[in-house]
Amino acid sequence: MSTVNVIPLKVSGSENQIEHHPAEIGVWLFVFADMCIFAMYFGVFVWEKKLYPAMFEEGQETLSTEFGGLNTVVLLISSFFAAKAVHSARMLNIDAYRRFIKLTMLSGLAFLCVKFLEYSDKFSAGFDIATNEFYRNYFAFTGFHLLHVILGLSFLGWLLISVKTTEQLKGNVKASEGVGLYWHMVDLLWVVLFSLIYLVP
Amino acid sequence: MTDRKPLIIVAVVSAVMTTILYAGGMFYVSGFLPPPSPALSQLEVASFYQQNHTAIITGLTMAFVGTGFMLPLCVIGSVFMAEVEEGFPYFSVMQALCALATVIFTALPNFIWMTAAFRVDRSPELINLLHDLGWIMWATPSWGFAFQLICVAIVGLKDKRPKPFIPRWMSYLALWVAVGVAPTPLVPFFVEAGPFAWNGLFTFWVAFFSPILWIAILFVIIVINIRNNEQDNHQGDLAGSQL
Repeated sequence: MSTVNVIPLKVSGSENQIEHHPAEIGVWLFVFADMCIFAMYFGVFVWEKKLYPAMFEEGQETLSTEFGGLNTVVLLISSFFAAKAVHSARMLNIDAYRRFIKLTMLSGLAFLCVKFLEYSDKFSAGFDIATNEFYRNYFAFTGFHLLHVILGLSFLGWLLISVKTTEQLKGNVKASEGVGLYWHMVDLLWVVLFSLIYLVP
Repeated sequence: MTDRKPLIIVAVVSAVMTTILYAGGMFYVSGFLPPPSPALSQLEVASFYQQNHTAIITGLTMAFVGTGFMLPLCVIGSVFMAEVEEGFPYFSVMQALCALATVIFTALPNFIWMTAAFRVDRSPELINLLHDLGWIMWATPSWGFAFQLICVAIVGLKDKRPKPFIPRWMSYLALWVAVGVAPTPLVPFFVEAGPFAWNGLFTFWVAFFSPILWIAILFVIIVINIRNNEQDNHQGDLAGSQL
């Protein structure tokens, strides 16, 4: 009798019947389409760098890798918090979930502050979007990325406002995964932007 | 519940009219699209208006009539959206109002360019002024259209019925288009041609064709849906959820 091992149906219970792919298919579509636009940005940047090598080299030297690097670290940390928030959503742990959403938002806000300092630094040094091709790309691309961060913050804020109980969290696991996925994309794009604009010689 | 079939027919007819009149007038007859480079010299711009006087006025007239047909299309969209919303249909009304803004900002530059072409002996400087004014007005404001798409996406994502009025992924795609048109306020910064000039990669090619792509996909879905639902007399949703 005892030779048959009864395998428990509920395996750990941590994943709570989540389907195999996280987030809705539409979020993936959004991420794919958005990355196509960013791929065009990267293409334009590389192409113009070939056209005006001296201008781009000179421009890159005026950029602050300290601010850029700090923002990379800030976003990587925020991505960690976002991943923890999604994990807590799957565990239906409302307290941890709200804490990690708040921490993600705080890191996002820190990114905005560093960006503000960096931009005002550039403006006071006399550079703006119309200075030359390098600065046009720098301000337009990082500005477009900044818009994505602000959008991400508003999605996180919406989750924070609308999910206050375990019951509400149950209906918002997919939505949290979607926001988490978006936030990781924003992080990834910043890493590429940072290396491309600030670092690559 | 309103009978949907006539509405869908009107929407399709308006979309076809907009496409034929606007694309025909702007791309084919007047040659305004794709946009000329902002870096053209004063004399080049002036001679363009003086030599194509009649074609420009004909094409621009076709185009502004075509933009008018966007209104029935958008208002019908709001009819479908309003059935999802509870209470006052805020986002549906907002969508229709923003459609009006889109139509006005798309049609108004046509009259400015027409003014430039109106008197053949107008001085090149003044032609240039009107030319710039028209292009900046045409290429810069994208907020009306972005708000329309955001409203559609919000209502689309709120729609929990088994047959939503558009598939959920179309709402996400609408949000992407709203983000894609966001760089257009950069247009007035750039006199030289470049990716953010009024004929640029991001401010014209992406910002103009991504909304068109979205609308085209919507119509493909509507057609597929109408075909699938021809037998059963179910109230055809705008684009259905089979997909």
